[in-house]
Amino acid sequence: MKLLIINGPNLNLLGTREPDIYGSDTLRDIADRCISVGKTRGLQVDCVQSNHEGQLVEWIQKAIDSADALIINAAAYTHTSIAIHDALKCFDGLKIELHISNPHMREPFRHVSYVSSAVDGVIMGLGVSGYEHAVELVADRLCA
Amino acid sequence: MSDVALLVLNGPGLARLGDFADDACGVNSLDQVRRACEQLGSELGVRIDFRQTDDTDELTRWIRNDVNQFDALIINQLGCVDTSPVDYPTYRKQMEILATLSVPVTEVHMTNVLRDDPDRFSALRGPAGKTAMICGLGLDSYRVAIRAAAGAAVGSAAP
Repeated sequence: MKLLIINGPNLNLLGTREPDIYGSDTLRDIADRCISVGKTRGLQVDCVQSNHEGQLVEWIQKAIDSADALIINAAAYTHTSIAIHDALKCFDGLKIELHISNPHMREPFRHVSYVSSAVDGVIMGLGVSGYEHAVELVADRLCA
Repeated sequence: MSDVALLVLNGPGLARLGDFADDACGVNSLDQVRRACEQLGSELGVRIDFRQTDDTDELTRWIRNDVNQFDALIINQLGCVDTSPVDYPTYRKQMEILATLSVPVTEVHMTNVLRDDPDRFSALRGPAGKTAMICGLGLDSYRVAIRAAAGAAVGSAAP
């Protein structure tokens, strides 16, 4: 079984950008732990990141034929991108929206998500460990 | 067994889960949720205190009086907004007590409330930087919350 973890804009700066909100782990650290958790459960995990909306859309489209589950942290595009919403609607596997912080506890412009209405479930505010817990959940569902 | 303890509260309407839970939710009764939570707690070596009430005053008392004996609070605030007799705005106001707490709070919903009821839903406001929300994953909403809270309480990322 294959899981694709898609990360959106500015997440490449994890570890240096507002560490009080996002923690000091880098995206590489997080990806390594997710891959390792997946390996112990028989789940192949790929982790990608882009600052470009169209690239995120293309990865979601590609996942339709190549992945069994998606975890997506669309970051700021969460609150703006109908294109990402539409692409996610075309993916039939398990889809989870993830945020490191809880957007509902932050500025009002982060309270709307175009991703939430196109996914099965949402995990927000668990810090960077949310990724590993989401991978465990996907493994529970797909590799039990 | 560690000495980590998690308080799992379920608000009005959730005792009658079987009346409104649908296939998407995949859960038939609150007892099924209780058993899953307690089983995971015992696997992780943490104590789970699982409670439900239809009385919002009792729920408030539980939070106010008992929560500091626990490492984290996990709360499903309301069974089903549409059929519940609870006055939602008043209830939300009562739940503002959460914002004054010092323990981490995770709000859970078994259905995807952000997709299914976006106009009515607004997230509970808990302690700054310690307030999570999980929805849409059925029983797994509770399970992810318990794993994360247990992991944070014992200081490791993934127990």
